Amino acid sequence: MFNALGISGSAMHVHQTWLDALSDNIANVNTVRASDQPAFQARYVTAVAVENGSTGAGVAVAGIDLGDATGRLVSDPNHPLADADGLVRLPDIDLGEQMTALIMAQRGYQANIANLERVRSTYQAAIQMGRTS
Amino acid sequence: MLQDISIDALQAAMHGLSAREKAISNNIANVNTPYFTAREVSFEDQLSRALEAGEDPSTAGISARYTTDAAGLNGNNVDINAQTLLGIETKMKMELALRATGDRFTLMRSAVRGG
Repeated sequence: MFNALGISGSAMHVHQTWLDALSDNIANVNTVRASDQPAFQARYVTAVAVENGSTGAGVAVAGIDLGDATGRLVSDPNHPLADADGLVRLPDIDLGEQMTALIMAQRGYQANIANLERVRSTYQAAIQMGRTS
Repeated sequence: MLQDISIDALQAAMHGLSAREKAISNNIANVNTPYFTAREVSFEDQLSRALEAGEDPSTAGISARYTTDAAGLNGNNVDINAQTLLGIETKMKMELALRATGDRFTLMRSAVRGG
C-alpha cells in the first residue's frame, strides 16, 4: 500500500544527492592547491534503477565517483601556495557541464515532486471512498 | 444481494490502475537513470475479456512489460511528457472507479436502511 510514494521518495533522494554533489563541484571550481598536491576532484553521482517486482521499485545511488585529480597548472606567482616556478594547481571542472547537469537534476526533482502530489491526491481519494459527505 | 459483480469488476480495475500508477512513478523516478527502460502496465483487455466470458473479474491478469520506444543518448527511453499525461489519465480513471465503487456502497446502504 502507498508504494508509489516511496518510489517518488527514492528519486527525490537520488536527485538531492546529485544536486548536493553538483553544488559542491561548482563551489570548488576555483579551489587552489599547491602544485605537488592533487587538484580538487569533482564528484559524479551514479544512479541505478531498483528492479524489484513487476513494476520496479524506484532508483538508488549506486556510487559516487571522483573526477580527475590532475587538474591544470596555472601560473600565479603571488599566491602563497605557488611553487618555485610560480605554479598552482586548479581543478579541471567544466562549469558548463556542471550547470547543465544542475538543471537536469533540478527538473528531475521537480518532476518527481509533481508525481508525488498526483499520487498523494489519488490515495487521498481512496481513503475517502465510501464516506457519506 | 451483497455479492455485487460490478464492485468486483471495479476492484479489479483499481488493482490494475494502482499497478500502472506504480509503474509510472518508477518510470518518472528513473527519468535521469542511464540505460533505464520504461515499463507499461496493461489490464483492460484481460478484464473486459473476463467480464464478457462471465468469469470472476479478480482472476483477470495484470501484465507489465518493457516499452520498445527508442532510447535517447544516455540509453534511457522514458518520455516524461507521455508519463505525466498517462499519470493524470490514470489518476482520473482511479478517481472515477473510486466514485463508482462509493456510489454502489451508497446504494447498498439505502437498501439496508430501507430508504
